[in-house]
Amino acid sequence: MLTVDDVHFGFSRRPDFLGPVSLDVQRGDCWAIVGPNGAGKSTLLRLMAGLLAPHRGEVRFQGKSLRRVASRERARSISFVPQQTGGEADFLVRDVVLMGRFPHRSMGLFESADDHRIANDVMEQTQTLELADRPLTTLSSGEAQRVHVAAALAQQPRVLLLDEPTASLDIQHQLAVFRILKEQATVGGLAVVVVTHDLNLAARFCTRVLLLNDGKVAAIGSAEEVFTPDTLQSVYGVPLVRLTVPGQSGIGWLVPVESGPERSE
Amino acid sequence: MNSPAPAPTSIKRYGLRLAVAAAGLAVLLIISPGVGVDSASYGWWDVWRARLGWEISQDELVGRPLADLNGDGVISAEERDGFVAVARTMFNLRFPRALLALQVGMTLALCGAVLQVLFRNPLATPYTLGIASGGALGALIALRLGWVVAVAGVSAIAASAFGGAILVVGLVFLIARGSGRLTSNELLLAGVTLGLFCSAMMMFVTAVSNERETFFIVRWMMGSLDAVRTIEGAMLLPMMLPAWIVLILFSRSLNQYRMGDELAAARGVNVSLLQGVCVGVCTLATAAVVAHCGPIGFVGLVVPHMVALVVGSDCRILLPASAIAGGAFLIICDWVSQLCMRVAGWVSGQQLGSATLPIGVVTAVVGVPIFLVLLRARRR
Repeated sequence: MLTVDDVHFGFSRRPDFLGPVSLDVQRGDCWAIVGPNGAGKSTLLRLMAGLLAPHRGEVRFQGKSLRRVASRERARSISFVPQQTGGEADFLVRDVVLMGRFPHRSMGLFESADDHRIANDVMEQTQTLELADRPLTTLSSGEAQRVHVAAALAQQPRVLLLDEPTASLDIQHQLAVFRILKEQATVGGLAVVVVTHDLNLAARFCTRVLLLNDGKVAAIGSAEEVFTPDTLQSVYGVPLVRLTVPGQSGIGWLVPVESGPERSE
Repeated sequence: MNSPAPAPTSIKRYGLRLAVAAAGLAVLLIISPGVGVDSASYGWWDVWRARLGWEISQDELVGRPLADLNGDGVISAEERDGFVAVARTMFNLRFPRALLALQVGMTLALCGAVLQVLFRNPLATPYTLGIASGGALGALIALRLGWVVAVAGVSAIAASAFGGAILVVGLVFLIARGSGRLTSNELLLAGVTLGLFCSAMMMFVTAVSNERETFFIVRWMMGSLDAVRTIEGAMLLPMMLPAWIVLILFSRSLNQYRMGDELAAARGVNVSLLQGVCVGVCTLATAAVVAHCGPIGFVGLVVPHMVALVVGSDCRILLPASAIAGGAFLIICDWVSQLCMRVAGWVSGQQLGSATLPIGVVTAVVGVPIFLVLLRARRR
């Protein structure tokens, strides 16, 4: 559905920073983009959201290059939840979620009954309905993150892109956010792409993993294939082991192990 | 719970209050011709009836001191005609003034609200960004050089003010562009610095003027609504209307913008276009205000803050509410300025004539306490 085809991108100081990257995001997929800081994860996500234009190659949605899609039309298919969202304005939660309806309405200043119905639905799906009449600024970061996801879902997208949605959340809220994402992918049929630093959450909830290192694809495939101790050590420079917990399915838990105090990279 | 109760939308929450506020503003405008006159003789309704040419009977005027010129308790036909003539003059003196105060207040408050949103900075106003100073310098140069022509309803002074304002805005952007972000402190610093430069240049122009010009320039720089006729009030409209229309139409996009550049862009808002158009129309409108009324400060800073404390952040409500509050605020400030000079006249025993207190003084004196009280109320 969303195809990244041999994409290259760079900044003025590093013109060949990212690329080549290719991946194909299908309906029902949950992709995790992982990698060290500065590997180009967020840049790739912005390219996929159409916020940046690739220098070479292209990003296509349903076969159509994002360059040739008007931004509002694109926004009706692709939702993007940035890492930082402006929190200084004291909007009510319900209004924040309703703002997700923006790309669907070109005229009129106020939302329709339909918009309200959709907002209620997505707030129910994200367990934020009981927060609806509270100002966004009074929420905890976990609650606020669920609200931003709800707003992204109110866009009724086919593709949902999130940049480190669980960065500052406690374990409980991390799990809650990933459960919502997984449900949207499997039940809602969305294509979900999430940039994250948490390898274990990625392994547990995502069907596909892209490991980036220094702007290049280090590994791509299922969590089982990508998260091998050798690959991860070569990318992160830290030895990791995979621990399996009896009675739990999945690939186990990735844990960094101490390799001596001298090692620093 | 399959069918949740209909949600209280912003428009339902605030629509009624907005309507009430707009009605209040209309009332202010309607009673404005009668404010500050001897109400035992002239009510606002008499002034309106005289203006509209409606019949005022002689019997009605019995017992009105100012109507009964010779004090014999009987109103003659001549006395009635005199009453009507004076009432008409009052209308022509006061109503255009109120109308101008309304437009100027609405525009300054609206622009202040928009710039605060746009720069994500509570200190951003047409003044802190140097727009007003640039406009004032442009207008002052035109005044000093005696450019008084008007083309298509836009005077040379207004055009020159717009030129000055756009020049300063352009420079501010050019200086601050190095930081790459519109919301940076560099932008405000550049604005304040260039504003100070413009002030210095205005002092220079004042210094090379003769006494009569200097007096006029100083009065103008204090900000005033004096010496306006209806036609001049109307001439401001071509420069202000774009701001009113564009900013209300863009209020949904501005809401998105408040949630962050990236989110807004991802939702299909053209962020740089939004910024450019908003700054452009605000510059145009501010230049119009400055050219005709001088730099009237404070409205653009305080009114949007006060309104935001009451109605919240939703631009669809915040912007019209700011405009309404700004218009009402300036009309009331103008009344206060007329009243102050009247009181000063009584106290000093001198006839201060038709002079009024500079409106800029009143906006500050009225606005600061209100703002401080609201600030305290919010902190609790």
